[in-house]
Amino acid sequence: MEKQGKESLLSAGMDRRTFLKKTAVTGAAMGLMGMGMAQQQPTADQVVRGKNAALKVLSSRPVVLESTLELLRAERITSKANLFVRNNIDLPGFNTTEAMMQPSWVVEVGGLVDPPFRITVEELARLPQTEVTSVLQCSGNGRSFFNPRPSGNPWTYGGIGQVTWRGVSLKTLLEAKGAKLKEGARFITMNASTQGGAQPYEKSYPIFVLDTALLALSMNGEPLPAVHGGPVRLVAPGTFGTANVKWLAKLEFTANESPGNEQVPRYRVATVPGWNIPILPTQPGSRYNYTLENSRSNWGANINSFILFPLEGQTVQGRRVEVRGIAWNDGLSPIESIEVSTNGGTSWRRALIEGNSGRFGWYFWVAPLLLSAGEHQVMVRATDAVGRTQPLDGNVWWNERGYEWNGVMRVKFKVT
Amino acid sequence: MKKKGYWLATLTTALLLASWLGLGQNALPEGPGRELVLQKCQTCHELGFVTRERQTRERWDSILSEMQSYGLRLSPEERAQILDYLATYLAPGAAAPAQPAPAASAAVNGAQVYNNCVGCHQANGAGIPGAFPPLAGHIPQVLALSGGREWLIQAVLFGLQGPITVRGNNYNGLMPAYPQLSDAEIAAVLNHIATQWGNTFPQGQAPFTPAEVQAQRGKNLSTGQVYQARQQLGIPTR
Ligand code: HEC
Ligand code: HEC
Repeated sequence: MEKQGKESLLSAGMDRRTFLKKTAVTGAAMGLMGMGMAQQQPTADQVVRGKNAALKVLSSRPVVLESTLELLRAERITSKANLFVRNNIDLPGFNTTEAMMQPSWVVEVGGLVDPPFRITVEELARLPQTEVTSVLQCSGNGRSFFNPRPSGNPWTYGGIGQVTWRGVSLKTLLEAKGAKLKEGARFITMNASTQGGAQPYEKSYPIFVLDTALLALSMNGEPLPAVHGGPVRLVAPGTFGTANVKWLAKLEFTANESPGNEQVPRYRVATVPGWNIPILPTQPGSRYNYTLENSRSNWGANINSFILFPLEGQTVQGRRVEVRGIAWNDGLSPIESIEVSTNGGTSWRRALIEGNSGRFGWYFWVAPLLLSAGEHQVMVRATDAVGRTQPLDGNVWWNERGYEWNGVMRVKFKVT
Repeated sequence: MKKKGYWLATLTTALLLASWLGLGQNALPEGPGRELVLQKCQTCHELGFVTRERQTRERWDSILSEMQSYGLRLSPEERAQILDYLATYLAPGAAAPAQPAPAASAAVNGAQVYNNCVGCHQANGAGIPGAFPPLAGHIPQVLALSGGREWLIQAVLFGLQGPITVRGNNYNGLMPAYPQLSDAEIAAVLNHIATQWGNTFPQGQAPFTPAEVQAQRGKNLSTGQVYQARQQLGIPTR
């Protein structure tokens, strides 16, 4: 233990595992600890500067903040103050919604690409920019509704938001650099910065996202907030947040998916490769040994819809009640029908789609209903053009780590 | 028939959720092995990652293996003790321990508040060379400096980040901020680390008071600003 101390952990250039091993060294003899312990949670604005204190702190280290339906329904585009945060690793000094101006920040592009190159944020800002509005959602959103409840952050509905990104599309970048993919490039593997002693975070996407992915430099018309990945983040619209790597330092074209912890066993659901089922149903409560072969990563967002008006437990004026909400999917096929039911799913009626925010954004819908005074429950379900829809009981896709919940949402409210 | 099934499922989910949300997220029940969990399970993430779970023994077992793959080091005996603790006190349906009385009304015990720190700075205050700086033999070095008292409060309230050298070893880690601790708790933990392991207050210095903590709280510094303030102090490197 003494010997380890002699070298700086950083200059020794240790990999994540070694670093963690050293930091988790078995301590010396244990003294007697105190009895009761109060570990109160700080508020969201204490954890990340500029966040709305109304966000729920699921964890302060690493930072995990959940938004609420109340906040989400108040904005068409989720503001940086109200957007959820799911850090796996905190980058020291980056827990703020302010911009992180580091024009000399470098993104290394390599792997199966010719020629490999490095590009600064400053150069990126001078290339043609692309803008896209897309849904950003943690793949664990809704985890709390699985039964039995899987381990992990206890998200309900607030691990989601819709924001507008602006940056350089990967295609534009490769063209600008005259770089060509080499044969066998099947994945894009990204690494977040490890500056300030942060541990590595590595994720992969199938090369499929090359058509739509961008290196985002701005969010909602301002420089990308530090806590959301500034100065540069990889954004693949239509996918879950987990592989939208923040603080992008390296992007490689690779033959294989990263075998790192964040790619397996984390962020995966069971599948049978080549079999036509989104998630292999597993017995709730059972174990599954995730490998790259018997499971898939949380990539494309599955189809889902929320009711935002009224909210659970609210009282509204009748008889004409406008039920409103949002729906979204991975953007590969348009959402064609959004239906609501007020009789537990016996019959459904179509809601009106009022507009969307581009194929990767939220579809806003409204269902005018005539309701008698008393208690009601409304359910919503979205279906896209290729027939993908939501299960009435989301638990059919129970998975050990509680990802990709998209069960039909039910809201109880009162009409007076 | 089918419909009933859905309803039942929804209802049980709702009930479980309600009872889960009612649990104290961050309380660790008393029981054998608890100290080991405090020591081992809050270096890489906050303890809430553990206290909020209610899992079966089998699942805890695989969680422990996963933590070991991330670098958690446990002897077989420690592993068995932790697994027994988790499988007993954080089992499905396990109740949350009674919420500790609000800090203001109860006498605050610095040793208890130090439970927040023990995973990194260790029970003997020696830290882990190269990763977590020692507090033993070091806190008096800071207290002796003009402005050192205020700065210690800031370090605990707002955290610290940046390369430092303490008693001959280099560190470049992240000291978490503890804005959620009350003024009384921060004063108590500072008094604890200032008087444990052979540490003492320099001649003529009185213990920290909640009022002193309150005076720093409004400054709302970033970890980087606390680091800059540290550089002004001239803390000895040996
Ligand atoms: C060497 C670092 C390290 C130590 C020490 C450590 N963990 Fe973890 N733990 C991690 C990482 C990394 C994650 C994933 C982080 C995330 O989800 O943000 C994690 C996540 C977890 C989770 C959530 C799992 C899930 O399904 O998302 C639990 C529960 C957990 N740890 C329990 C423990 C327990 C119990 C201990 C002490 C016996 C412990 N950890 C000690 C690194 C560690
Ligand atoms: C997750 C690990 C961790 C926890 C928990 C933690 N610390 Fe620290 N602490 C650190 C690290 C790392 C540093 C050095 C930061 C750096 O390198 O800039 C530090 C630095 C400090 C310093 C300043 C030392 C100096 O000379 O700069 C004090 C004082 C301190 N911690 C007290 C505490 C107290 C009191 C608690 C509990 C309330 C606590 N720490 C909890 C990791 C931790």
